[in-house]
Amino acid sequence: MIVLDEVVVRYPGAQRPAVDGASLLVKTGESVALVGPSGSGKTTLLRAINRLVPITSGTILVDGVAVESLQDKALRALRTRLAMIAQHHDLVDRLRVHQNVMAGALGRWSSLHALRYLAFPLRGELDEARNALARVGIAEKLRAPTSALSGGERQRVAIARALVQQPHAILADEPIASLDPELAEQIVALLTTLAKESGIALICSLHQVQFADRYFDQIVRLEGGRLERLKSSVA
Amino acid sequence: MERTLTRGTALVLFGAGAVAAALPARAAASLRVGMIPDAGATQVSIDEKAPLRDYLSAKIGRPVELVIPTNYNATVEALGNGSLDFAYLGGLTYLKARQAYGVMPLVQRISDRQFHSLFITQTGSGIEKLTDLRGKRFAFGDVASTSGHLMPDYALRGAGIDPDKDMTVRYTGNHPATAKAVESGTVDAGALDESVFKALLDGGQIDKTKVRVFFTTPPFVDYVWAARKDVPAADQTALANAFLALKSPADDKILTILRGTSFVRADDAEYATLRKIALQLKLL
Amino acid sequence: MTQLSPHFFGSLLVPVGQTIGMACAGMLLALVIGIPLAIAVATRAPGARAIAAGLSALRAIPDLTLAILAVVLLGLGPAAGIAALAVFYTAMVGKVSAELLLAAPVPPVDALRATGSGRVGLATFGLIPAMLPDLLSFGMYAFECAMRASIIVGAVGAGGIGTELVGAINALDYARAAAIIVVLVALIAAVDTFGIAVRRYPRTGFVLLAIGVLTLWIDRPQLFALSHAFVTFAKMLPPQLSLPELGALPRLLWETAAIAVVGTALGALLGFAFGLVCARNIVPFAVVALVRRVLDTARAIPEVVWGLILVVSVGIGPLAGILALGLHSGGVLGKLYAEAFENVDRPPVLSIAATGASKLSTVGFAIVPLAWRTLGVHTLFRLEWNVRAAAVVGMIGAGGIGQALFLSQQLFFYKAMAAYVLITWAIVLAFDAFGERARAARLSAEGGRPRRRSGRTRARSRTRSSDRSLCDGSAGTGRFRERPPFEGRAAPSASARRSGARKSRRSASRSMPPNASARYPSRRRTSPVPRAP
Repeated sequence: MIVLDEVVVRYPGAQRPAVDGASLLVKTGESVALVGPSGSGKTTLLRAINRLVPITSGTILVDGVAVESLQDKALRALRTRLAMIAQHHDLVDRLRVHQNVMAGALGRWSSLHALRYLAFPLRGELDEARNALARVGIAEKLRAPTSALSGGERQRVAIARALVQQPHAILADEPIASLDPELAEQIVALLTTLAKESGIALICSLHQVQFADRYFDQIVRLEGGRLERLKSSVA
Repeated sequence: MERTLTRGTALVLFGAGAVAAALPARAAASLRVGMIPDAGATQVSIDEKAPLRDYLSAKIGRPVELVIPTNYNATVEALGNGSLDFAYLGGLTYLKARQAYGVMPLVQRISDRQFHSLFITQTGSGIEKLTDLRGKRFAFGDVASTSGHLMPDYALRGAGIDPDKDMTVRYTGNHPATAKAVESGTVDAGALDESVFKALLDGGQIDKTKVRVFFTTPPFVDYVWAARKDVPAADQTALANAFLALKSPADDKILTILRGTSFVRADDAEYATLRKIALQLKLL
Repeated sequence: MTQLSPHFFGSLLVPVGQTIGMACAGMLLALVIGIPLAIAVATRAPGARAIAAGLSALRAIPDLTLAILAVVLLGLGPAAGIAALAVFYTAMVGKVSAELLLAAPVPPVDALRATGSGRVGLATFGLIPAMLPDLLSFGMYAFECAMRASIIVGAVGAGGIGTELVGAINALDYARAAAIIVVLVALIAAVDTFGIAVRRYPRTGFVLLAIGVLTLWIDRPQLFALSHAFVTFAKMLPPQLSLPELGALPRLLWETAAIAVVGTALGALLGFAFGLVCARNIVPFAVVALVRRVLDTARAIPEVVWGLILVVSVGIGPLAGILALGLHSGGVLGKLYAEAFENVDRPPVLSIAATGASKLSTVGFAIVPLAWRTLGVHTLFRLEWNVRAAAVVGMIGAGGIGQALFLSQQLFFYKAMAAYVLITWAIVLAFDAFGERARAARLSAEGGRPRRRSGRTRARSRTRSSDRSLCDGSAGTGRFRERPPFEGRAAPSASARRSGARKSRRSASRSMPPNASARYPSRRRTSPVPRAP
């Protein structure tokens, strides 16, 4: 469960806060669409939740723990529980697909384990990667070079990586921004379905609202750093 | 526009020519004396040899400039192009300089007529004679050195060892480096100039307990002071006399710099044997 | 053993002065000869193509090889050093200045056609003022390189502090050798600092020219002992090798190649390790500052000087050469790799870090793979440079073709020596061509691939070989490379001056349309140039 209470994020030197008093409650297995024009603070809000951006005031609780107090190990543990899917499906081109997918496991792996995997992946680990890829429908790309993927495939790999992370929540930042409408809807459908199946909370920022209604439990709109509720959860 | 370019070029050339013409001919006021770099060609080692310079200036009655070229080749070429008037040359270097530029031999130390190369090795190496060197790592000094390469090479071949085939050979570039290479064990054995080796032991730069001599070559003719062909006879004689006048207790300071006891006249004829050997080893 | 007395440091003044003088005089000659050649090439004067080809070819002869030739031809001392530097840097100044001029806001050929003025006039009033900031920046970079070269040509007898160092090492006087190395590193640091000053206050550069003129004056007798030079040169013709020498050639080439390749590999390993611990996005700033100083020192000591030190400690032979190249390359590559790590695209790194990955895992999964291509390019450049360096360290006893060259010089076998010079030259040319092709292949391979964000990193790595192989990339703090004049930067003053020059040229010619400057946006590439009507 993720709770935001009057969260303010102000970048150093900026005149207006990027996020200005946002409050939100997302339950386990629930999906939230965060809509709004670009520059409205969507990315900042998402990054604040897993502490890639520090908050200026207010509180963010993830599973009852206030994120702003976390340091080092505990912070890593928090990030492990929150999978991030970023705007431009930020995969590392040089790596193979399975390496990008298993990057999701880095939170539970030691550094040595991680480096060993780069050189010598074990069969069990590859199976885990293949399973995750199967869930997003591209199991056959396991050993393909990441740079050879299409835009939609890259986004599927990013989702597979999030699944491997076994997160409590997925924070998706404009995951469909650069896809054509048909593909975009496929990805949104995949994301929301997988989240529901696995009981993962999903916060997904979107540029447009078209089909959000069909897939998301809640829809909130962020404009000028302020939140406005468009659709509330049934409960 | 081509014309303008041509004119520009002409202008530059003319300017350069004018500058060249304006330069006075090379001042021949001081005599330039070169020493071989057996112990480092540095400003400091030139300063250390200041007493020799002062002595020569006083005797010849002309300012003398000491120059220490970095290597043998440089010394000979300097005699060839006139940037040195006199030079102290090793036997093989002398032969090269004689062949190329007809330099005149003047004087040498008595010991240079009966010079020896020493073969040295580590105290506990088990190398006792030249034939033990088969398959070993061996250090010569400068490739153009008589006592550091030519004569040891000849001695090895006399003992039935072909340095090119039977040993791993390295050229360290100079005598002290050879001694150091043997001392440190970088090579199993090496050959060098006896007078340098003695000076290194006396100066404490080489540890007496680590290195021993296991073979001494038969005597040969080595170092000589020589003059560039075009140096006036009077200057040649003056320099030769200055050296010949050095006497033991009185001039010890200078004799130490020269690592000798007294000087005698040198003659090209004494180098006949050395020349034969050098030709035979294809070093000349 | 000499104590490190004030007297000793006093006695270093002359050699240090000689080293500085050689660099200044060499550069002066290089400018005097190189700039007119560059103008000729840039304005497509008759024979321009031949000049350009000649300059390229000349640049492939390593500086120390030239120095050996010069010592044989001109005798000992600074004159030989000056001659070697002058030749090497004429080639460099000529080639790069020509490229700079061709990249002028209005390319010279068009300007010529448009204004109808002569080449000299155009150069004096149009091109050179317009390109002055770039030329100056490049000139200082070249001077910093020349300073390093000036130290190392001393190692074969061209005078200056390099000669002192060889002497001290030969005399087994390690205390003195160490002191000289300290002086030498300080000298290089001082020159780099001075370089910054000259870029800011260009007039201070005249000091260097004055020193150059003075040195040339002092060394004039030797410079003009040319008749001997011709006689000696005749002895080198025709270059030839005896049968046993020919037989040994494959081994020599193999040795040189091995020194270059293994040395580069060692440098890459060291550079990788040190690069990781001095990238600001990986380790704390204090560590970065510390490690950078270590790398600066490793880089400030040229390969040849490393070689001289190592020949003493590990003995004569390829190992010394490999270590020498490895240590110097480690310093250069460490810095370049660190920059590559710092310049990777941030988003993928963030997304890996966001999984809760440890720092080390993030490095392994994101930073290194993202920087990989750039590392490869830097390493290839380094390998190319190290082929020269391998031939050069051979001359101070590290084996290979360089050593053969040196030994044949020592024994006055000039025909063989000339042959070795030609072979060295051919190898370097071949490797340069190979490197060029490898890079072209890499770039075109990249061209067909869908990539979104790494344009930034790629642009950085696409520095051309010409500005890299001039010097070994160790000069300065790489300011010239980081801000290459080819790729657009320009201090406000510079661009202001350039547009001023553009304006004056426009008013000088009526045949050029008034909006001419708009038709030539600040294009900084030399490649295909649209013609003026």
